[in-house]
Parts: sequence; structure tokens; C-alpha cells
Amino acid sequence: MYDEQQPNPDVHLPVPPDFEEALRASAPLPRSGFEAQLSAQLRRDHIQRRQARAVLTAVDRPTEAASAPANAHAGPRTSAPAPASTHPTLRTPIRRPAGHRRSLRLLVAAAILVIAGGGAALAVYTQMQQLIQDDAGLQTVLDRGLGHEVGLRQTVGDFTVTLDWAYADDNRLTLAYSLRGRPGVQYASLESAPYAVTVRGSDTALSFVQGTSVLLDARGQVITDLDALTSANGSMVVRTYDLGGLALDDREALDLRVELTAYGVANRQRMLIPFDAAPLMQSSAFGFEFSVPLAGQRRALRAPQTATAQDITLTLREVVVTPSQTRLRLCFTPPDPARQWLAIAALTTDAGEVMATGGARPFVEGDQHCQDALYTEPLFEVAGRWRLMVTELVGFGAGGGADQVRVAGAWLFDFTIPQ
Amino acid sequence: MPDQPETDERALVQRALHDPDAFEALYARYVRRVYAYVAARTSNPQDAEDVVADIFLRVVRSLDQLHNAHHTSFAAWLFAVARSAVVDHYRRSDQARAHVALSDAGPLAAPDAEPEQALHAAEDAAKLRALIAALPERQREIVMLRYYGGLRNQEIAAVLQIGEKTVSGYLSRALRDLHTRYTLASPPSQPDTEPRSTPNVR
Repeated sequence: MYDEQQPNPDVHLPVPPDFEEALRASAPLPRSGFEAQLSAQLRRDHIQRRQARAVLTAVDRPTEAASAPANAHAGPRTSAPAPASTHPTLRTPIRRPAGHRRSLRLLVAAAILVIAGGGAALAVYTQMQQLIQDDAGLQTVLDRGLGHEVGLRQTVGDFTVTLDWAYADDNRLTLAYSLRGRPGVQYASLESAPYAVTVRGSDTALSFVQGTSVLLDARGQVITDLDALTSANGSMVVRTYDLGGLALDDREALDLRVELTAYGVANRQRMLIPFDAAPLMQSSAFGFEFSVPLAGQRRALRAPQTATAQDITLTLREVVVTPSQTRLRLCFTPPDPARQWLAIAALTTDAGEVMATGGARPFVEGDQHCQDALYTEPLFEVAGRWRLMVTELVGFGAGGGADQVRVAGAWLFDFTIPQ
Repeated sequence: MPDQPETDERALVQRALHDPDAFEALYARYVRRVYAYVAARTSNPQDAEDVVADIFLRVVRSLDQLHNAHHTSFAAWLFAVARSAVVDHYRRSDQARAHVALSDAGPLAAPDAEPEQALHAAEDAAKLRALIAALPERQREIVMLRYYGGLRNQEIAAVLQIGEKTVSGYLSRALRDLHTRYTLASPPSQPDTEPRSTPNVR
């Protein structure tokens, strides 16, 4: 991807060159116009600093003389107006009191220990804390004990999978499971793939949204020392699925089927034989059938609102607030339906702007381009007026990063979520 | 003795201290690499742009410090600044760890491809970025510095202040895991009958 990249002389890596090329090609590119915009800012800053240095080193000369260009290139550009501020404004996130959260975590940890009557539940809680540390919504769920211990276990071949924990509300489903290899064997890699989660009786497959995993040692502790050769006895996985497209009606629980496959590469195998020739210790498929209660807590605004700018009408169809997530669904008829459109939106409450931590998931519904704007910051107890401001619509074409059309707004929605 | 590109780059850095055009050339050479590294470590493109702007402003203001550090390549110095700016960003915005959401990672390069190929390339890239994001922290950083930042192992070692052999070890482990997971996630359409060799890792 780099026009002027120097050849990288670190050859003899254990993957084919085309895989390295694929890695390079997966690099994100900046939006069109960003590079030129920043370049102009930097030029102004560079010239200003050079002028300032010249003034400091030539105090006996008038300022005009100091600002004279040292070379022909810089001359005409010194007249460029100084930027009001070269630092972009930082958005103010909503913050939760850290002390409150910490004390809650301790209380919940202690409660789980008492209920389970042993260290296993505490280990699961501790591992989950590490896995969901970037997700404030799931932290709230865990801290308040809103999830459910499942404890279903299956052993197939060399592997044992335990479905440890589950949580579901109107916005998302999160599952945590742990994977153990053959006792006495240490693994360099212990994974589960592929998998499917379906709603029983409807054949509805749930969309996978996000997942993360950690390796565990023989005592169930998370392995963090990577300087030593990784040697794992197990792993723990947390996966989240989107429930936004599912008609939940008045269901009290979700009846689910979870399928997954486990595999691992033992350390001994890896060290003794060439990696590419190492047989993966693949197991048979695992299947779990169980029900997860749907959390009753929800606040929803289902009366659609519209806002129009640039002859484009945006509809805020619904807002659903649950303990784990807030979802705002926006739809509009785009100016060019051949492009994939994304609305750049910011949500504010009385406490300030909400950090955009959940991303946006676009989808097409007839001639309408829609997206779910997602926030994992805990907003369930945030009352008062909220404002969603869409500042820009961006249409991505098939031609890659530079192939963009941008329509500036703004579209404003002010609303109150019923308690 | 440094090779020709390094010598040229040192001369460019020297000129960039006083010449905005030379600085612009230096910026053009690195801005996409820095953006790719930062975008992969921040949660949305807006944050990535803020951090990239911050990085190059720091560079403008402290190029003379690099001039005095004779043994550091510009690339290594630049990415040390970038790494520090990302850490500062998360400290300011109170986010515990950098991560990238697939839907937020920004547009991808596929300028000349047909729509179907572009779609396939975008899916492939998204898969790889998800696999990279799932790597342990140190491995992930090394992969990003190498394949998004375009750094050599020696330069990565300088950025992370660890040994070159350590970089090599982490990189080999990360690449093996990435390749295995990638292959498992994308089974080939035809059986691969070509025998593969596994050269030594430096």
C-alpha cells in the first residue's frame, strides 16, 4: 500500500509472501481529503515555528525581517492565515465514578463466591473482567449480577467445553465459555471455530458482533507473560451477538443452540516438526441447547422522528436502552443508492457527549439505508433530554478509500426516553 | 555504513528542519503508514485523525531533537512518537485499551479492483484485521508496526525498546498464529498439493 516504502530486509518469515502482502493490504486508509488538510495545517505550523526561531535568534532585527523567507519556496506561503487551533477538539466522554464501580465489583465477586461455594465461579468472574474491560455495558451487567451462570459441560475427543455464563437483553446476547485441552498437555494455541448460534424453533441465526479470548494456565489463571513460550491448558472466550434484528415480542427467554468446534496445537508438536506440517488436533463439533432469560430492564422510544437537511430526510425510528447497550436506529433514502451510506452521529445527554464505543452497523431495508448507532456506555439510568446530531452522511463507493461522497448536515433529534 | 535510502532520508530530515517543502515530502512518505498504525489502535476514524494530527504536530515541534539523536532512524523515532501519542490519547479519553471495531476501521485500499474483487478484498482485509486485533498486545503491536507502519525489525526494536531477537520471536509466533487462524477461517477452494518449506526465523 505504500508508494515509497523501502524494501523490508527481514526475510525468512514462516508465512508465504502473499500472506504478508495481504496483511499490508488490510491497513486502514484515511478518508479522502484528510492528508491534504493536515498537510496544509502542518505547513502553516512549520512556517510559524521557523519564523519564531528566526525572531529569537535575530533580536536586533525587526519582526518583518525575521519573517522574510529563508528560501524561495517558503515566501508566498508565509501569508497563510494562522489556524485558530491546530489541535483537534477532544470530545468529552461520560465517566462513571471509578470508586463506585470498584466497590460494586468486589461485592459481586464476593457474592458469586458465596453462591457457588468455591473458587471456580470467582475464576470465571476474574477472567471475564479481563475480557470485557473495553465494554462498559457488559461491565455493568457483570457488576450487577444480571448475567446467568450456565455450567453446561461437554467433552469430545481431547477437548472439554464449558458454557460458563450468558446474558441477553433486547439489544444483545453475550456468551462466555471455556475450553480445556487434554490433561497434562500444554498448548501453544487453543481455539474454537467455527460456530453458530441459532434460535431454536425458528432457524434464525444470530449475527456475531464481537469476541475476545484469553489463554489460561493449569490453575485457570490468565497467561500474561509472553516472554516465556506460551503454554496454555485452556482458554476462555466471550462472544457477543446482535439481537437488534430479532422480533422479541413478549418473550421472557431465548431458546438457543450453540455449535462450535475446538482445535489446538500442542507445544511439543510445534517444537519438533515444521509448523506448516503440524497436524491440528481438531475435535468433533460441540452442541449446546439451553435457554437464557431476557433481562426485563428496557427503556424504549418507538415513535419515529424526522429531520431534514440538504433535501434528505432522516428518520430516527427507535431508541432502545438496556443495561448492556443503547441502540438508535436511523434510516433515510440516500441521494445515490448504489453507494453504502454511513451517518456520522453524536449523542449527548445532560452529562455531555456519550463516547461512541459501540460502532455503527449499516443495513439496507428496501430503498432505505439504515444503521444502528450503538453505545456501550451505561445509559440505562440517564434521564433528561437526549440529543442525536447527525453532522454528515458519507457514501462509500466500490472504488476503495478515496471513492467517497460526503453530504454535510446537520440533522437534529431531541427526545426523552420514557422511564 | 548506512545504505542509500537511509542516507537520503537523513538528508531529507536535515532539510525538513528549515524547509517546509522537505517536511512535506517527509510527511507524504509517512502519513499513510502512521494513519494505518493509529487507526488500527483507536476505536474510530475521527479519533485516529485527531491522534495523527497530534503526532505530526509533535514532529514539527521536535525535529531538532531527532537531529541530535544520531543513532535513531527517522521511522523509528516517528513511530515512538506515534506510540506515545496513542497512549496519551487513551489516557485522556479514559479508555483502557486500544481496539478496533471492524465497522469503524475506515476505508480500505482497493482502488483498481472490480466491485466483486473489491468486496472480496474488503472482506479478506476485515478478517485479517479482526485476527490481528485478537492477538496478544505485544504481538499485535509488532505486527502493526511491521505491516502497517512498514518498519524493519531493528526499527521496531528501537520503538518498543526491546531486543531485535525478541521482536523476531514475537513476530514469528504472531505470523504463525495469524496464518493458521486465517487458513482455518478461509479454507482453500482447491487442495494445496505444493509442499511447503519452513525456513529458519531470524
